[in-house]
Formats: sequence, C-alpha cells, structure tokens
Amino acid sequence: MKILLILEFIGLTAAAVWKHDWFAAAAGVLIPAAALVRTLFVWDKARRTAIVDVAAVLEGFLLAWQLVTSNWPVLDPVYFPALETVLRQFFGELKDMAHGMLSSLFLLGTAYLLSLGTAIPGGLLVGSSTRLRNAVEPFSKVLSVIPPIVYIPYAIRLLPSFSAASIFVIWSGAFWPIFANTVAGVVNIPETMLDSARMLHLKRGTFIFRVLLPGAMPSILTGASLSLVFSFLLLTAAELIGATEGLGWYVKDRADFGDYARVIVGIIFIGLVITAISAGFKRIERRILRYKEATE
Amino acid sequence: MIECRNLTVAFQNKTILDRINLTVEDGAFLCLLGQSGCGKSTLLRTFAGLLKPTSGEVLVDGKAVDGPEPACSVVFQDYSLFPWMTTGKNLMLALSASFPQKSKAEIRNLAESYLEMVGLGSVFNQYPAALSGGMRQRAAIARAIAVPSRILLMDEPFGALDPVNRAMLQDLVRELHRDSRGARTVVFVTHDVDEALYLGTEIAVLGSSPGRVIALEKNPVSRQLPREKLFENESVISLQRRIMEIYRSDMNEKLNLRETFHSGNGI
Repeated sequence: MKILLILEFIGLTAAAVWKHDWFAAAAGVLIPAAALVRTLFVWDKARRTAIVDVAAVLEGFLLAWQLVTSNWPVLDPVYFPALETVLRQFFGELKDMAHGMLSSLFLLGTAYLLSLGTAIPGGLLVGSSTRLRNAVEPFSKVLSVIPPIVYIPYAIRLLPSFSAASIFVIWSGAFWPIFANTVAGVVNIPETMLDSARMLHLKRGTFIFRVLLPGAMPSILTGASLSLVFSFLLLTAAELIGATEGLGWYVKDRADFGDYARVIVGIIFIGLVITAISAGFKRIERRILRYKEATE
Repeated sequence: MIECRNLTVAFQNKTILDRINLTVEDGAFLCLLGQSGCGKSTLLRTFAGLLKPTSGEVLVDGKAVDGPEPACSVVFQDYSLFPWMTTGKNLMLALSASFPQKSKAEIRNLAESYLEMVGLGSVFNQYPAALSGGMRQRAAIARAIAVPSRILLMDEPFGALDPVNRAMLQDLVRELHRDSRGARTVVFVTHDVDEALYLGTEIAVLGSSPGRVIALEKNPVSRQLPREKLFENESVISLQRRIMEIYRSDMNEKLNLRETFHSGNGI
C-alpha cells in the first residue's frame, strides 16, 4: 500500500499542478504527509498499516475525482463539480457553515439534553418497579417503533415555531432508545448488588444516584449513543423541511439553487461534524466506564 | 439475638423452608450447613429482612424483622462491592449512611483504618475490578464490620476463592468474631463441613426439600484449636463423623425420591 500511496501522490499532485488546481495539489501533498507524521507517533504495526491504507484509499479517491472532473472532464460539471472547486468552496463557506452548525447544534443539544433529562429519570422510575414496568411496557412498545418523522407535519402545525417543532421531533426520537436502555439497565443490575445496597440503609437520593444510576449506566450509555445518531438523522430531516438556517437547511437551500459544489461541501461538513461529536461521545463514555478496566 | 419461630418460606407453592425454629445467641458463630438448594441462603436472607417469610417470623433482639434489618450487615459470595466506586468510596458510602453526623474527613479516616484492619491498606483508590477475588472479599468484610451492626451475615463468602485465600480469610473472620469490641454474632452459610467445623461455635445442618433443621450441634472446642490441630481432636472428629452421617442420610433420602430424577434438579 505504501507504493500505491506514493504513486497516487505523484499522480494527484502532477495532475493538479498541470491544471493549476492549487487546492487539489495541496490536498495531494497534505494527505500522505499527514499519514507519514501520524505513523511516526504510532508504534503498533497494525495501526501504522491501517493509517497508510486509509491515506491510500482517500488519495486514490481524490485522484480519480481530479482526473474525471478536471484533467478529462467526462462527467457533467453541474452535478459533479471539480475537486478544486469543492475544496475552494469548502474554505470559502466555512464561516457560513459554522453559523449553520451553531444553529443546528443548538437544536440538537437542547433536544438531546431534554431527552436525557426525561428518559433517564423515567427509565429509573419504571425500571425499579415491576408493576409500573408491566403497565408502561405495552405503550412504550407501540410508541417506540413509530418513526418520529411522521410527527413532523403535526408538530409544525401545532407548535409555535420551527425550533420548537424540530426539538419536539428530535426529542421524541431520541427518548425511546435511552428510556428502553435505562429500564433494561436497572432490571439487569444483579439482585445481590441491590440487596447489598438495601442493607446499607442509604437515603433514597443516595440510593438512586450512587447505586441505581451508575448500575444502569453502561446500558444508558449504549442507548444514549444510539439516540445521538438517531437525533442527527431527525435534525437534518427536520431542517430539510421547514428551517431557515442550519446544516440540513444549508444543503437543501444550495440544492434549490442548483449549486451542487456547495451541496457536496455541506455534506462533507456534516459528516465531519457528526464524526467529531461521536468521537467526543466515545471519549466521555470511556471516561465514565473506566472502572471496568481491571488495571489502575 | 436472632430467633426464628415457625419460619416458612414458599415460592409459587414450592416450600423452600418448612417451619424452622432456631435461636442464635449473642456472640455465637452459627454455621448453616447444607447441600446446595436446601434453602440456607434463603434462610440468611430472611434473617437480613431481604425476604419476607410466608408464615412465621424472625425476631432480632425481640423485634420482628420487617424490611432490611439495621442490626445486620451482609457479605455475599460476589457483587457485595459496587464496581463503579473505588474500594475506599465503597466503605465511605456505607460509613456515611451509618454515621451521618461525622465529617467527610472522619469518614475517610475510618474507611482507611478498616481497610488496614483487613490487610488492604494500599487499595483505597483502586476499583474492585483491579482487586483479586480474595481482596474483594476482604474489602466486603471490612465494609460489613465498619457499620455498627452487631450481627454479621455471610452467604458462602469464600465459595469462589482458592484454598490459600480461603484459609487466610477464615482466619480473619475467626479473629474478627472476637476482637476488641467484644464478640459479634455471626451467621455463616457454607456447604463445606470442615469450614463449618473450623469456624462455627454452633453448626445447624439443614435438610433439603423442604429445608428444615435436621441437626443442631455445639462445637465448643474448635475455637481453642489452631487449624493444624483441629482434626487431631477427638470431639471435633466425632462431630465431623456425626455431621457427615446426617449429611449422607439426607442425601440418600433425596436420591430415593423419584421426583429428584424426574425434575432434573439433581442433588
């Protein structure tokens, strides 16, 4: 793969320089350079190989893109803009997209925190009472399988603003995975552990926050990460329908004007944002569950 | 003092414990001995108030047990400690529930001293997952004796340990039974006859299906004996024989029951 990466690097840089596509040429240089620097700091051989492989795939993809859109433009340039154009627009649009991101993240954050704040207490309550669980289960079974997107028209009609409507829709989608996993988490705490807690005569609040919640936490986090992915889907879906700002709206708005270079830029940006947030979530999850690692 | 009067526990029409009458005096170390499935853990849970009897009652110091009994602390075979807290925090949680008026620093000092008492001075900040099985049980015992309950209930606490750790922890429990604060009352569930002979001042043998006390023996001499001299003593040897005989006849009785084979529950 190393040789392939070098060949792709030469190909992409040469092709880009030939057409004076300076952004594309820079990408052609920076990807192998970044991979090289990364491998210097990684000792594990398998991971080093993986880094080179990823760089080779990316470089190869960009080379193909460069060739069929700029050097031999065989594809329709309206739908398949040149690599150079997309890269240029990406940096040009950063400010607008960052603005859109803030608006999207505000909706997402509010709705997501709202679902955590309702689903976890609800799940702890329902999980700790068999009677309540039996009473709630039929409803949660039916409600949880309804795709929340179908609420969108209703929510837009009933709620005062687009923000309120999309927060409601995201909340209704993110709620169920967290709720169901919180209930399951409480139910799966070993009975002996609960008995052991009962014998300590803890105050109710202490019991909930120091035993029930952490006991269910691994399961809650599974649900929360599912919900996070789910709420991104719902957020962009909602924005495609009624928003006037935000990342989903950005893509739809540019598509309405036939500006497909910016559509692609927006899609790439959304991918990057979601990846970054998911990575951040994984870090938090590992930190919370660090007690499971047997070593210090 | 724990008193059981006509204690019966049944789950879904299956009688687990059948009219048990048993008294555990203050300062006694009672070993509940029986085959697996005979209901000895169930009996311990009723003592602790974790299980409501179907009929009859359990009295601790003359008062009927209703819900988790404050006079008792429990050590289980596993899952006694909360894995999401460091060992020290586990003790501090129990201590601050028992001594709400004490400051955090005092609670911390107490937790440290109890961990030291069981030989775990250096693991305060370690999570239970980082400890060996023996160390975890030591910490669980430290937590159980740190609270002011005078009755210690132990449910096959050393069942999952290797022989060396098991012997060391048996010695620890024997020491803790009579320490500077005077004698604690201990109820100890086990299926190991030798363990019961080494630890118990009294041994109750539970017969199976349904569980009932089929023998109650005093074991006054073993406490004066070190481990290596235990099975050289005449009275301990004869007690061991007697208990094995009772054990064996109970097992034979169970084998002769047709339902044992048909239900597949085994022995």
